[in-house]
Amino acid sequence: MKTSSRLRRFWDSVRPRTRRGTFLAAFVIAGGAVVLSGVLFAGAAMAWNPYLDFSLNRDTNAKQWAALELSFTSSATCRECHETEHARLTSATHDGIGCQSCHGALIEHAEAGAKADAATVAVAVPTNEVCIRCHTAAKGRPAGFRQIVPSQHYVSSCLECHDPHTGIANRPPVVLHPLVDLPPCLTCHGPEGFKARNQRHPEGSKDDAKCIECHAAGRGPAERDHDPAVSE
Amino acid sequence: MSTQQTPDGTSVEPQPVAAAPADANLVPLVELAPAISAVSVSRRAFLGFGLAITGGLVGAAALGTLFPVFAEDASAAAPIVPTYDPSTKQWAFVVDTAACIGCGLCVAACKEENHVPEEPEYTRTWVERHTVTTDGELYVDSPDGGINGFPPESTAPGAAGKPVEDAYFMPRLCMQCVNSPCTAVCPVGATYKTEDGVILVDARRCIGCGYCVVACPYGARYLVPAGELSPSDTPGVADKCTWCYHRISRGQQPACVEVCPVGARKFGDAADPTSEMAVLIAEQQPQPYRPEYGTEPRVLYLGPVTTEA
Repeated sequence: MKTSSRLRRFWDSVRPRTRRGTFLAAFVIAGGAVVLSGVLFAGAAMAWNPYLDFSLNRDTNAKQWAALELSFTSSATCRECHETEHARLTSATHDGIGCQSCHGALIEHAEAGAKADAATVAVAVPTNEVCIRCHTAAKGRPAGFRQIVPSQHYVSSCLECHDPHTGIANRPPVVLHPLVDLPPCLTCHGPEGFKARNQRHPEGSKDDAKCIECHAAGRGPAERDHDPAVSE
Repeated sequence: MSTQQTPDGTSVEPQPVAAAPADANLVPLVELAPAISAVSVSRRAFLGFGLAITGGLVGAAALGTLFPVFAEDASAAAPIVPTYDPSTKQWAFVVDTAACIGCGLCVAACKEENHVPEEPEYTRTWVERHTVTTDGELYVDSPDGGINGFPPESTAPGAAGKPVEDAYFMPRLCMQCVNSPCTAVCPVGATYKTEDGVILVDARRCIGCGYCVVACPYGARYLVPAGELSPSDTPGVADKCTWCYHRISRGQQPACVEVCPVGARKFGDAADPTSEMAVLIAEQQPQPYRPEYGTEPRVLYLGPVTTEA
């Protein structure tokens, strides 16, 4: 049987045979078409224009907030590779400080994982500003928190003397005198003495001629053969 | 039931159901037969119709999968945080004003993490220094929101030179109030509370009227200015601290908590009684700031600010 005659027979079997049937069928078909096109139009409009999201489901927006990208990773992630630094950090007064407090946001470095190296994802070595931000003497800081007055503190680079991870190990003694009219040496090598050997000792400054007369830069007698240096 | 009882006890014979149509609008089935037959189809054709419709639906579903125009948003977070269930969390935030050193790292980290505009007047979190002088006056200064730290002395007008009795730093952020004025005043329902207690702003709905900005008694909101940086990628809408919703839903700490060097900011789940946060709240009993506002903040404070007059 040919397809055309099958179609004709099919049409004969379903076609409306009365005027009333014709109207009914036309109504059903036209109504269906109107409803279907409405649904399609609304769907297309909502897909194209987010302002037509009539959904009352707040979850959509919360998910958008949750999907934002991170800049900061977590210190726990840093520890996965940098166990040594973590052990040193937790051994001293800087225990509890997050890696990114000083090193800045590190998500890119963390996501690079084992491939991360100085060439690809550099981690900033903190500058003096990072230290001074916390440790400059200012009203409001809790009592007992270590603070310095930068103008009265020997500052070339904080990391020259201080190890930020172990913090306390190479800490010079508290400065008991202002630097005015006194050689910078005495900032560290003050009245209390400072015996710990510092591998990163700077070359003796030319301004320190008064000290260098007896003590060659970075060396010198361990014993003091003069009275402790105190101001006033 | 063959008889009906009337209230006085006499029985009434059941009336025969009228054979004639009681409702003139009801057309006898016999008369409808031509119309029915006019649209009737054979069983085979009917089954054919059914098959065609089913096939059409299956095809449409397949097309919908291929071209997801009806999907909510393909970039939504489903694949990133599939395990996060907000209904199981009740986040809480504790700020220790006795520990804060006023370094401002939190303010800087917040701006970087959330792409908050650089200008100091637009900020999700900031640090204040409260200085009480010996004459009992309270001076508050917050240079640039504390983003660069603090100078040695208070910069508040009138505070210079006065002898200081007490001074401490107070980090500020959205209090995520249980009884939140911002969500109450929003005329379009753009700002709302999630199940875990965080108040968010839906940038698609926000019309930028600023009602919430002035309604917040803690001044925690601002309107995002036109420019490069915008937390929700939509300048002109209201913005505020979300407790880094993208971080906490991934199981991380908010950026400000992550970088705080002295642990003055603490964040955790108060719904879990064994969590550090729940223990801290139970043992140290941190207090809300300005409880008289009646907003029931979820951010609680420890230290000198809790005894501030």
